[in-house]
Amino acid sequence: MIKIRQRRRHFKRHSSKQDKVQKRERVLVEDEDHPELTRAIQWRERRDRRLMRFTKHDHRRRRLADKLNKQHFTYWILGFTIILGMVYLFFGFASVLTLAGYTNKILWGFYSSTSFFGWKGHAITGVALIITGIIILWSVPFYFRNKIQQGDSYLIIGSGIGVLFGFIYILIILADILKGIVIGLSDATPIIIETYFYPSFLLAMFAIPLFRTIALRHFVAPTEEEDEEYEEDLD
Amino acid sequence: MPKIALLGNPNVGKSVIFNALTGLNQTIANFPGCTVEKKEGGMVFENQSIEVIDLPGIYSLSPHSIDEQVSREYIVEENPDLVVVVLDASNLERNLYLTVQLLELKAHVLLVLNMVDLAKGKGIIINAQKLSDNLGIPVLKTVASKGIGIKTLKAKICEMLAAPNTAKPIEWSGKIKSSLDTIKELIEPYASRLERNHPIEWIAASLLEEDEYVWQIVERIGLKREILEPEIKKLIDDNYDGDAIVPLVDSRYDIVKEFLTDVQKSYIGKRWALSDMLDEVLTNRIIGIPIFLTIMWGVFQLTFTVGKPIVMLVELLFDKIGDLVFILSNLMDGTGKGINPVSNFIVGALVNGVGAVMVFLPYIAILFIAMAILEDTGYISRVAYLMDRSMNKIGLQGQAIIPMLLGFGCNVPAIMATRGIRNENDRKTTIMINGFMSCSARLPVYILIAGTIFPALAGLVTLSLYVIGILVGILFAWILRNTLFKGEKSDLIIELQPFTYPTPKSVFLKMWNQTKEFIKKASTIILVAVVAIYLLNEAGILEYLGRGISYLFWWMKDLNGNRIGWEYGAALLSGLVAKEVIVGTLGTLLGFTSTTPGDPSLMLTIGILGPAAGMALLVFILLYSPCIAVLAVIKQETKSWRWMLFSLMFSTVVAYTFSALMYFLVKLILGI
Repeated sequence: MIKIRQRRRHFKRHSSKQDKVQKRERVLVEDEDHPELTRAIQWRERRDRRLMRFTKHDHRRRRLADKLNKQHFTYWILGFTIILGMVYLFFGFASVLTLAGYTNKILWGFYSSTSFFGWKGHAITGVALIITGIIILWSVPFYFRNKIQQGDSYLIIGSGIGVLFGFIYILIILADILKGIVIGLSDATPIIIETYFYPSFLLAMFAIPLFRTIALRHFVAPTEEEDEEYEEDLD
Repeated sequence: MPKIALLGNPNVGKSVIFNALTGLNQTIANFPGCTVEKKEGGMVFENQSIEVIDLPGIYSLSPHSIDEQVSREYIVEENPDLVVVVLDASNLERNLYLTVQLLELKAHVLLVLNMVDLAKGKGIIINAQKLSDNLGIPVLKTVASKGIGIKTLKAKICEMLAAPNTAKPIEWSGKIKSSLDTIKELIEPYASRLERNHPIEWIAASLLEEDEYVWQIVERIGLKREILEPEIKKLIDDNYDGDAIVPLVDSRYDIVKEFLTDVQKSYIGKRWALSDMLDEVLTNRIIGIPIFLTIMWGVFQLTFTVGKPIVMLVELLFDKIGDLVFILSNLMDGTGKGINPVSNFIVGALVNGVGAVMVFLPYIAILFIAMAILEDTGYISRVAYLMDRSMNKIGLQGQAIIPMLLGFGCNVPAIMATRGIRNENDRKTTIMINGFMSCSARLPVYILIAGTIFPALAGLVTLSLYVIGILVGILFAWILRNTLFKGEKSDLIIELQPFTYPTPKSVFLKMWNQTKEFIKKASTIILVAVVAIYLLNEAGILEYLGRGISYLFWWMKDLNGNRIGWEYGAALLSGLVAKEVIVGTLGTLLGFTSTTPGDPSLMLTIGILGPAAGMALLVFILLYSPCIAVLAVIKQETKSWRWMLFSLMFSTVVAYTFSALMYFLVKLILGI
């Protein structure tokens, strides 16, 4: 730490306008000597660099995957899984119940006070939420029996379907906006946009980190030496 | 011009390499059996023109189905200058079996290890140089879907065509070696008559396998089968208890194992690869089907809800075109009414007829994008596997599933894909029930009728139609298999390739090809059909025909208690040309745009049908006779007019029965 501080002080003491100009000139000279440092490098070279960066990124992800595979992370995942699975089931059943048509009468005005969730248009997707919840909770017994790989498999599919429906409902929200604009334009009336905080969209916010964590837990990449062997024949 | 052939196991990426080499756009998919006939193309590299042949996938040179025969006969008889064997890098052992057979045939071979990225994802690293040294033939690595390794492949092809190399001879061992030597001695006196593409080693191995195709070659060179066959039979009985095929296959796999010495390395450890994790759940017999239905619900929800505002924009466009025609007509006419035969024809036939079909283009495009993504990821082959388990329980074969799933796109290629089915009875059954799989041409009809009668549940109704189609297909496959097409059942052999990320280019190309086909149909067949319908209507003939058909549905009543109109009968008749024409006809006869003076809106008229008649009509459209193009392909594939006419009558009778059942069921439940 001391060394770093000293260097910083040294840099501060000498940094002036003149130094900056000199530095810029030095970089320019380097550019002429080393074309790979210029901005106008060929696209192929740029691609190669990107590939190298990606490979390095792979190794970083491999280290992260090793960390995520430790036991205490599994406990965290298990806890989060149980909560998320229950929440999915709750929203799923709440959506499906709207098919009965009692949305304004039952549960002490629950549906009318939470109408911003767009329950009515979400009824059949509720079945999809129930299935998602079941798949997520299906993984729990596997974790208890220490069958981590099987548990992760159910969790990645469950959270993956959650993410998929989240994406679909983002598009549906955009479609709602576009529909309002088109109706406004065709009828020459003020634009009224009718959209909701659909449960699928909101729950996906919690499914995304779970999906990402499980995907990372199973990320595999060869070591640098092995990677060289892999890349040797590819143009 | 030198000729090269692309050969390999099914679903290893031969067609992707073919497209990359030739620049063509042949259909590709992440499930086996996509290519059922050989495709030809040209490739130019450094001023050298080369003919490239893409062959259907085969597991060995001992074919069992029509498409496998195509590949084997091409390799053996046409003797291409170079055989580019495409291998799945993540499954080398099984893929190299075919290579061993090609080496027996002394073909000039170049090995391509495709999908090395997927192998890497599964934790497998391959030393291509070592494999090349072991085999004595060049080995290249590619990731064809991303265009990686293609340039090197092109250069290597040219290099090998200029200087063909010879692979190391296959070294048999043990009992198989002595048996092959004995057979070779028997053929030796006639060996000089053998053609260059029929080496004696291959003939000997094939005779040990009792391959009928090779017996024909042997007879052609003057060898007497009645003399040679008992001797070979005795050899097989004495050494292999009457069956030499299994020991020969084992022996070939031993050779493969030797080739693979020090070639592969795995670094994955105990952790499961992502693809294996997905397979664990998606092919689960309890939860697999609900997951499939959930995903399909997502696809339909996406199609209907996201497509809606875009469809509204297209509708608006056609509305304005209709307005413009009347304004122009008004200006030219000078009467102020804006109605004359020409403007009526333009609005009635073109704007109402073609427009009614074209407005569904956004729905079609979105659905095709979603289906292309599912197809490219490899999920469709999992669905086939999943369905096979449940279908086998009711006594059905598994091979039929791929054509059935392909039928959701178009029944024409789906029926052609039945060539991959080995059992002829299975094949005919699959052809007969394929029309029940709801092709994409029917989608506009569902959207129009379901969207009008069940606005909030249009997606669910459409999904249920697809499910009804599958269930009716399964039911009648079982009935046909136990009556008309009785016989042995075959099992499903399907390659579950690792899951892949769909590339935007591939998804776009698939969507574009299908959408282009839809636009082409709308501007040709549908245009001609709606013009003909408009003219027939003007002449009053159509009403008679439509009335005749609607009489057959005397039991079907709308919300007002009236029999359905003759327009529906005419629309069903026009659906024989192409299913989309039904929408065009309804548009022409009932008036698509509200701007048409005097005509009630199409949606309003269809709405009067009510849930019972609407559902019954939808079920009839789902199941009734396939269109002319499908009937033609049925005739071509079964080589019989009889089966074509049977398909027409059978599907129409089934449709009529189920339509009536649906009508009375809905009436019973809803009471309207």
